[in-house]
Amino acid sequence: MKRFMVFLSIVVLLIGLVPTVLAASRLRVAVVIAGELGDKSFYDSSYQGLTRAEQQLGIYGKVLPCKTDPANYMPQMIAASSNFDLVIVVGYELIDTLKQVAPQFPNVDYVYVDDVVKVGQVTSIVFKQNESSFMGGALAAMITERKGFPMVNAQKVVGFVAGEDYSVIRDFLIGFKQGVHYIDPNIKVLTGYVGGWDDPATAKEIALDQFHRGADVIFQVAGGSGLGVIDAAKQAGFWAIGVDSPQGYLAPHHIIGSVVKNVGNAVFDMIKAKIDGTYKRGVIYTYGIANNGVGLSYSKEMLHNVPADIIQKLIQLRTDIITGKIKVKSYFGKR
Amino acid sequence: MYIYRSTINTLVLILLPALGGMWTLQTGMLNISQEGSMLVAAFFAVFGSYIFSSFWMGLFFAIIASLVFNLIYALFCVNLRANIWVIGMALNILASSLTILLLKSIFGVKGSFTSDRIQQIPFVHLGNLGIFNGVFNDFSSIVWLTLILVILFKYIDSHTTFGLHLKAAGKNWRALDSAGVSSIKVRYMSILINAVLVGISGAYLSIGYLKLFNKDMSAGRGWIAVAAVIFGNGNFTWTIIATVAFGFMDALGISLQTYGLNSNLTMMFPYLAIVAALIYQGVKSSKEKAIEE
Repeated sequence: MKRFMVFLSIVVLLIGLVPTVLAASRLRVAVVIAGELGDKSFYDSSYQGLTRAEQQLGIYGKVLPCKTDPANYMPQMIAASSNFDLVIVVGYELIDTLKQVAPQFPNVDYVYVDDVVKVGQVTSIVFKQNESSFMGGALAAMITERKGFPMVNAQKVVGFVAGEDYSVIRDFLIGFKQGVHYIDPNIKVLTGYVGGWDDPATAKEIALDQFHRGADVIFQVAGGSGLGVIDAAKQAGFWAIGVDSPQGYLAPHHIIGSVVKNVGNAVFDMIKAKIDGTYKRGVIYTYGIANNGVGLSYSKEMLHNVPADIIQKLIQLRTDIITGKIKVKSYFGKR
Repeated sequence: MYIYRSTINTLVLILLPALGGMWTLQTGMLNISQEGSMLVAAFFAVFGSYIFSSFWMGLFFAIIASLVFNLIYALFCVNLRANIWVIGMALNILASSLTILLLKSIFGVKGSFTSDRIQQIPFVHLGNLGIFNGVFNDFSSIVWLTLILVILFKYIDSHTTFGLHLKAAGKNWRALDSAGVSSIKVRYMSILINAVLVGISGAYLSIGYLKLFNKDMSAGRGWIAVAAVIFGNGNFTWTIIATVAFGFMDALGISLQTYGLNSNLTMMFPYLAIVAALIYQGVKSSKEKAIEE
């Protein structure tokens, strides 16, 4: 009996090993995210990039969420580093942990998404969110100035609601303000910060406050909290601008367009580069409006809501940014 | 003048659990699990409202969920005399993870859920009131319900035998038991009444004020209610004053941000109010102790 139990446990162990052995031949990619999937924007977009790579490139991928709990940052990062070949890190909360962990795993490749991390082998992906945010600002300004457009009042005021106040968000804000003022320097931009990415009730309160001060187009960069702004738009009747992923489907008649960041594309590109052997360690990849890393969504909801002449003007502005005719300011200075 | 409406909207969310928590504190049980109950109630409000396309069912499910949650708390803390902090914290953590799990398994989404099938708790429109339009019109019916409840609670608290039983259960439960009233029953009553109130406030959060569920959407409001209860120390007037102050500071913070004050500063406001209130409370009670000695 005892011998049989030993035999049985060896068999079970071996069966358990099979997927590991099978996976060993494939590239193993971990995506460590600071929050949790389901924000319908930033994290979900990176997850899409990973699943696309799984389907098209046959890699083994896994998402390790930290649920915005600092106690999880280090264990998840070490778990990823010890078991995977390529670790993609998403979320500014993880920067310090990455700086500590990366030097201890010299054989692992790290990609940090959305900022520059200058440590050893870490490759950084930066998005020029100031450029897409500029486009969002221009869109907001042209809508708020349009007379007789649904839900637009006479006041020249637009709003900006963000989750928390940190570098990337400031970059969004600088671009947005510049875009608004490029169309008309007299438009006022109201700003508000929720103080968290999972508090739609406070976000709604801020949006309604801005609405009562004349804002009729509000750009939200607030993850889960942003849903509160969209809810406020539906209730009070104003236009919201979506962020990161095309969010038009959430409220087709109240989201004028979305400022998107194609995190998924960047994640996919990195995995593909790694497989093709063109991956470079310790460099900075920039995704701007020129290589479609960022931009407006131009989804069917957006094309339905925005008048054709404004769309034309937006495309003109995009060309001007690419050719350098318009220089969009950045919070990060020169990159 | 939007700050007034903003205050009312946020106030209701903390006033209901603060009222319920005040009574459980009177019976000698500080209810720590408010945050978790509110979150679970918010989830089941969306669940009920979505499945049946009726806000009544949303409210019903929210209250049932909150009752179940609070019964667990009561079972451990009243009957088994467990430490309220341990049980309360465990329930709060459970609520946060449980709602994420249910969101994934029932609706198949991660993080947040919204749908047109969710029916919102109706708003009350009293007709054209001229200059009072902004003062009374278009609040959620829960706001008016809360107002009625506050008056009702004031009456029960200071004019009925039940109000006395509550205080007796906290101050001297042996005396209450010897008078033929079960102190355990009184404690259960206070916890279950609290459960109903927290259930309503959770439903207000997800299907009254908003029309969606987002993970951890209670965002510390249950804790603010607990702080108000601690500050009020079982006293009706002080509990109400504390809640109104916190609600107002919250709305003030939002309003000042729009005027251009730094957000990191304004976000501190409600918490600053709590710290100030608790310091005042601490100094007062240490003085009282000194007098007693």
